Amino acid sequence: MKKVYPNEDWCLGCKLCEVYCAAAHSPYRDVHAAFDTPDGSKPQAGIVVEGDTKHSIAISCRHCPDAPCVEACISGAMQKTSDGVVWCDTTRCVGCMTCVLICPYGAVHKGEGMKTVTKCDLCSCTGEPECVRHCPAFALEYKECEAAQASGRGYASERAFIGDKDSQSGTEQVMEESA
Amino acid sequence: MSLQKSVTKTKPRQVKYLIIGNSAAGVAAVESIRQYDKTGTLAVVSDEPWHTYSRPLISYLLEGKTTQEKMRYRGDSFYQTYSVETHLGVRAEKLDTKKRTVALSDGSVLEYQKLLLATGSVPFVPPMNGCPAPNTGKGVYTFIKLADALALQETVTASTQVVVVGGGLTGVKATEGLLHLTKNISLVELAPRILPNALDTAASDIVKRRLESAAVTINCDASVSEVLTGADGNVSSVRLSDGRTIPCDVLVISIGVRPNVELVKGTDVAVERGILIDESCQTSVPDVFAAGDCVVSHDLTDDSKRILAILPNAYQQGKTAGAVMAGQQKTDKGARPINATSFIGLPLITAGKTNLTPEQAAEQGIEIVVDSEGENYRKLVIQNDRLIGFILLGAAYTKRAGILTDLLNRQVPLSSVGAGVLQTPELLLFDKTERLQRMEGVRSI
Repeated sequence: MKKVYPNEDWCLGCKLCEVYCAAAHSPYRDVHAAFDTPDGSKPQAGIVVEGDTKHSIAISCRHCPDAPCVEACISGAMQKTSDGVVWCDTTRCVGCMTCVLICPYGAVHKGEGMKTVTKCDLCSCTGEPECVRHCPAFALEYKECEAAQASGRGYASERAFIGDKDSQSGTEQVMEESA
Repeated sequence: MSLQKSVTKTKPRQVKYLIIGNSAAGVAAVESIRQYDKTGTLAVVSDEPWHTYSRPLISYLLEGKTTQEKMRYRGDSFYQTYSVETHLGVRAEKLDTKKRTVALSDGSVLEYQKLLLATGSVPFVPPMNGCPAPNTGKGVYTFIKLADALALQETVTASTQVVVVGGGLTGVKATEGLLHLTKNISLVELAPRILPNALDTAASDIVKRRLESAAVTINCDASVSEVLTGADGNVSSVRLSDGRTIPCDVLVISIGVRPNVELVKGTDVAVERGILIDESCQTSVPDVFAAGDCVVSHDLTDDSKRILAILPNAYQQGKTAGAVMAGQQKTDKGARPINATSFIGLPLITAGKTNLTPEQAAEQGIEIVVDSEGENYRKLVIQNDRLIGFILLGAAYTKRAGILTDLLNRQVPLSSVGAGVLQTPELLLFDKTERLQRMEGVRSI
């Protein structure tokens, strides 16, 4: 399957990937509206830049074959589609953070003031993910994993059955009600 | 009696795979079996009538953070998608390992080739003087199933006085859920602090203050010595061990759980507190497997055998059991106690060994590193250059916690990772070659 691969040698640490990811997954879908909120709350991105401008890397979900977050999720919100995409149904997520506890990549995030977690869903496979489209340094690539294919560790063995989505499901972020 | 009659009358229905239990371990086994065997007949039996739902979410249901519809553990089409024959609302009453049959409360009998016992746990209710039986409409409730939460939802109103006995994770989460129904809640905990197993005193105090600021009265070092009832037989108050009396209409008992081993009593399946299993989740009887809260697990923290009644462990064991039942080679080496939750918005993540006195630490050459800032608290437990446990409380310290869990699970020498990885968990602090390898998506766990 295609995933987002970061190139840390090219990454500028500008965090534009975070901005466009967060906006795309906010209820507003627009950068200005998503960040210029009435209550000052900021949307959470599924891709997060580690490091500083000297050395940085943008980390996002690896969509693991036997995804630990899917297996450990206590609510059943974290799921894998038949295409292999790991996504969180935020209508069912209670924000317990078991996925944050279990993800060895640190690629699941609970933003401040958020009721649910946020992670990369490859922009729900609507073409090139927003982070890749907007990276000015070409440090993010959306491609098949060459190493996995070469070593025969492709994703054909992924569970073919999973993917019974609910009709009311969604990956949109859910904000805490203001107290 | 009537069961005996039906057993002799009914011809057993044959299924290849039979799973007793419809929660995490059972569901994991279904998903695992179907990965390898798409057609073998598979039946799931549960005494609860519901579509599979998430047990830990019952407190979130009280809190209004989820609904009965949304707390379904798998989608509506789960049983159809995985070709599962369901027997829901039916109790598995008698297991005969010689005949390989399980008799159900509706009179039918199922004959299996492979059996999985995923019977979960039952609430532990200690003897308390004068206490009416739980869940009999007399004001005493347990808190592990959906039915418990629904009953409380129906009973508790803003004027109800509630006493919760047991300040462990379940008791505290039950309290948090009940806070949405009433503000009159007293928590009673036998230990000197709440959450005594998961937290140390400092972290426990932070959570305690949170609860107290939400008007919960917390009584530690206390137990219920007597339950007093009114003329109608309903609970009216409880007397504590220190002599104080607390008025109460609803008493919630959440002291802990015990493995549900009822079905294997009187069979050859070996039990020591919980059902004993090997690394392939097989019991002492061939073709009988067990997984989840009903088994004795292998705790990797101290290489001991204990009950690890946590959902991720149940899922992993169910997954292993399912694969082996479907003819695969698979082992489950054990698990570590892990917990993630939040208390009135304050996130908590714990893993491994978290509780030991400074004397014990010194004796075992264990280093403890503590940081705190307001309600944020971090405790790292390190031995022989390896992380063996941690407590992370508050949003400042719970970010990317999975990287710490990974260091703990793989027992990575901390000196091989960049300095500060425990304080700022980042993949950037790992060796570049390893990072590139892992970013290709090949997990090294």
